[in-house]
Amino acid sequence: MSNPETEWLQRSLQGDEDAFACLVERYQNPVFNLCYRMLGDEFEAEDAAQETFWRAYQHIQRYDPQRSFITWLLSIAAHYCIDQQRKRRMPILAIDDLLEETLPDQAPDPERMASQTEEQKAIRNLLETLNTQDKAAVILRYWYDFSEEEIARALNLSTGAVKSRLFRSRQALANQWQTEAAKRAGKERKQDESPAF
Amino acid sequence: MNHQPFNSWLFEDNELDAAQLVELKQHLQVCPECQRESHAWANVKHMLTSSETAQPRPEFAARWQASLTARRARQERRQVRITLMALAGAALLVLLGLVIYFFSTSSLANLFASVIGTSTQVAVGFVNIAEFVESLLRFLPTALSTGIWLLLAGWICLLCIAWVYSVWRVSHKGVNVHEEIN
Repeated sequence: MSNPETEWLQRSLQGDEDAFACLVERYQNPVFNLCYRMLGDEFEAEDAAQETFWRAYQHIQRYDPQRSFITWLLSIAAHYCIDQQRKRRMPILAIDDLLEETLPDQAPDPERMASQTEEQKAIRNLLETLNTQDKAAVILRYWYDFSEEEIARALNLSTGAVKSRLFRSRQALANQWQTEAAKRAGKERKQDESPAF
Repeated sequence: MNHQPFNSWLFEDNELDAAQLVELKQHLQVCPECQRESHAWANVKHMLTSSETAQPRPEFAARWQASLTARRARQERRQVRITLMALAGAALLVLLGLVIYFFSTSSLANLFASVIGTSTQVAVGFVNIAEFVESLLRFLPTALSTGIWLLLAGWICLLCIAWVYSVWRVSHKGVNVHEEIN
């Protein structure tokens, strides 16, 4: 962690609200991204990210400075999202609107936007086939490059459990990808066969 | 065809040694099923690792700070509610305990008699209070006359003092205004 962050953390531990706001500014993207990947909806992700920072702020005294702050934050976010998903079934919402707002500023290239939208949709469809804890493990592994031990610590699981969850998830994701690919191929074939007017 | 251990190798995070890699490659050449799975997983992994980080709407931190006050107020309200509920629960438990105690230590007839006895005592108490107030009202007129004269004299004294003070105040103020004009 760099010096300003250490200082913000020190000040936050002493109850400095402004210093914690700096930490929110610094870590908003990874926390939001985790929530978004877990919940699949921008507004729910915003609420979950806000709630994550609120919980972290409330329990900052429980934070162990020997551990990475982002790991601690992501652990809070993952647990919150797992609870949220257990509480209710995910509503299906349009992802197109979301991308316009959530992706970083880029040149307005419609083709690129369309392909990104497709990709995001595909990722979301894939992740939705996993159960909540498996999804959290996959997200932490592939978006945040967490080791199996770090995932185990973040999700309160044993390393063995994380290994088997990741193994099962990879198989499930590969199978789902094959199913989606077969569907796409079927659609394309139908389009090619349709008579031209 | 036996897909093990190749299928496990495909989905495990462990690094394969050179010999295992050769074995896997050979198996993939003859097993279309494992080949499809390998291809699918490679695509999924690429999608996951190359996907961009989703970002919140601008001013996320400002929104968080703005919500702090509301969250604190909500938390305080919840704590008050919890305390009140705990107190009400405790009171209910004590009441329940008392009821159980009374029912276990005396018979229903005794309880009924004591309830009637207490009610009668309360009613008698009210009657006594009413009688006391009535006698007080009878005694008051004679006692009041002296009190009223004293009150009137007091008020007149107060009004006189107030009148003298206001005359002095107005005259004093008038002089000041005159000085200011000059």
